[in-house]
Amino acid sequence: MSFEDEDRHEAFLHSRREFLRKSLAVASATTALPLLSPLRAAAAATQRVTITLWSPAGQRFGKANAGIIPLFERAHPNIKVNTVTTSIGEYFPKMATEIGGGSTTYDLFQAIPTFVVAFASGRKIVPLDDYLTAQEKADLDADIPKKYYDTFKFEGKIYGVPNDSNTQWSFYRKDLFRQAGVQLPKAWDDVEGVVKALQKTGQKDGTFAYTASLRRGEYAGAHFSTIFWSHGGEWWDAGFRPTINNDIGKKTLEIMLSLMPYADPGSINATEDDTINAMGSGTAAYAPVLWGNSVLTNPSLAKRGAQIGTSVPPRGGSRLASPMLGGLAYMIPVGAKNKDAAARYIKFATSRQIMRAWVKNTGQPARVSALRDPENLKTGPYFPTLAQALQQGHPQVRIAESFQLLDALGNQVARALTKEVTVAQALQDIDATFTETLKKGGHLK
Amino acid sequence: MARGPGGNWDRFVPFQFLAPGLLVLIAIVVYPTIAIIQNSLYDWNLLVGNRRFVGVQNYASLLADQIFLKSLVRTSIYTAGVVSAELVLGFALALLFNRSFPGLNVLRTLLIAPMLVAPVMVGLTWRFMYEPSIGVLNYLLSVIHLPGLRWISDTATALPSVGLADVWQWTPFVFLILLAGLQSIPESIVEAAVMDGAGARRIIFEMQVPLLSRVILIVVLLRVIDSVKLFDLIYVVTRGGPGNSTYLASFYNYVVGFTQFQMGRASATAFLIMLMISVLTMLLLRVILRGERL
Repeated sequence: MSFEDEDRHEAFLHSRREFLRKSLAVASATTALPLLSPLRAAAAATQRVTITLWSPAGQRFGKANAGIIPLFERAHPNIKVNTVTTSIGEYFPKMATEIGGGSTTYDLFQAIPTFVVAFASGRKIVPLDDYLTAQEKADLDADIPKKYYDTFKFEGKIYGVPNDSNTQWSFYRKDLFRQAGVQLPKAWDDVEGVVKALQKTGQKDGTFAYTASLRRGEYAGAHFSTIFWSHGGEWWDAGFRPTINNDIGKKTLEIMLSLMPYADPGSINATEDDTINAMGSGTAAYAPVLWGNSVLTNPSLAKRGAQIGTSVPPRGGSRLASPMLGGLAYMIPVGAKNKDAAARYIKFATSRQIMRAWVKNTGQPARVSALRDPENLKTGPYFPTLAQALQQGHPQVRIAESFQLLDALGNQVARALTKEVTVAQALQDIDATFTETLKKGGHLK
Repeated sequence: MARGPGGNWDRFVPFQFLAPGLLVLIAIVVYPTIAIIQNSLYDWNLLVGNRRFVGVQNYASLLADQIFLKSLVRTSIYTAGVVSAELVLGFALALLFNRSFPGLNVLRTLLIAPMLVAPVMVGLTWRFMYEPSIGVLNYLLSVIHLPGLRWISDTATALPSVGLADVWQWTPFVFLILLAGLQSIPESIVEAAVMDGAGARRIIFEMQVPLLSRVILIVVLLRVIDSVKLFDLIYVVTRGGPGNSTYLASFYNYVVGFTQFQMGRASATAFLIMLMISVLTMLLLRVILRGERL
């Protein structure tokens, strides 16, 4: 073989080796591809996602979430939680507008039961049933008061899982009650007498006897409803005919009016934040109906915290008090980009294991086990009141227009309280507004 | 057929220059207005998302709604009161500053400071000042042995209290424009009047005011438009309360849209308010441009 032939042979061998090597590589890659896909899936699963949680600001809400988010992120290193908070006085209209408008900004948010029917029937939020195991569902059912948990369900599906619970209850200054020599009133008929006595005692240091969140709209509406329901009233009958313009409605407005001369001046325009400030700063002695909160009984958060006691609101005659049920649950909007990760946060934040951390960070749990946990009672001495009020509480009405009706009710109540209209006129107007809205919504034929 | 250098295309040249501006106007004025009119013909609950065509039913129910009609009356009273106060105070300040004295520039700058603050901040500041127990206004009243007022907690004082904050913020704007107007009046005219023996009152009311009439009307026009639309101060200071005492038309619009979520009705309200402002603007413009071609 000449040198030339040797070279040609060498080139042939070289190209053949090259060909075989390339063929082998392609064959191996083709064979290995299906084997690699689980690895790819695993890599995707461990890909870091960021979820955005929207909640009201402050104690019980934003602060409580902020307290447990680091624990969640430690347990789920591939999920980061961004939070957006809005002050409670502005949160609900903003949240309803954005979620109702189909926003894709948030992966999960917290909402009160008032919105569940509207959001669920309008397909603005997703059912959470598929994200929860049978065991998790059973555990939630067993540990959250049924009456309360049901407010977050619609047509048999779970649309919100609460890690927070709330109703309205009474806050009072134990020292001022002692000084005035009065007991906590048992029934609404006794309240005026008690605040009269408190006013006399309080006049010395400028403390007002009574305070309430009576701002026009939902606040005045919720206050009215608690007294009204406690006296056995209902917003409408079985056929959706409004039933507020009656003796119970009249009595309710008269009770509210009779307390106005003893109210701190800010009450008529107050949200719950303002009423908490009035009680916490010592401006007022008694808030018979106030949305529950973790601030007022905590001496490190409220100046008079150590002196503030809690109780279920007064009875309506011989009937047990029936305070409005509130509380917040986590929900996932239809437009959420990371629903699975959001659901993981919901499961974590509502689990038994996290409740002590939730309470320590000023959360107000929905689980009965957490409300009874002696460790939690150190932070939340009012939890027994909350547990009792939850049992007696009245769910908010379950139609899509409930927030609209609550707002309209509160507008008329505020008009009566400022004497812009008479009690009779306000009740007539409430009936007329309810009739129009219920007809428009197709409930009242 | 003879054509110019650009042919018939020359006719379109002005439109090419106008097009960008027109497109922006269509996008930010014409389209939203059409959308508002269209939405106002529907019964639309934002939360549920259902939309049902109801024709002019939203307008009919609005015009029969006593709360809306009263909010319009309240808005008119508020606008008349606030704009009058701003005009009188602004003009008085303009006269005061229409001369030279030491520290003029510093004082003038300080005087326009309220105008530079965001209305929400103004509202929050005044809300704290109005606080019945710890507010500075009641403290000042107590210093001169007067009883404290329930500024924003009393239906009788709430609207004037909001108006006071408004006057505090926007009088400087009126002052600034009127001062510019006063300074544009030739000094020789005033000097001639003085030489003819005219007193200060005659100079102001028979010379400066008539000469400033168009400037005054423009200020009135701008302030009327702003006052009718007022929302931020109400939102921060009173939320329309107590009762309905500060429930102005624009706040009614907000409540219908964003707490009751009735977007059709809210659109109808917005359109009616817009119509009201447009009519007012046209009337004032007619007065301003009287005798001139529009």
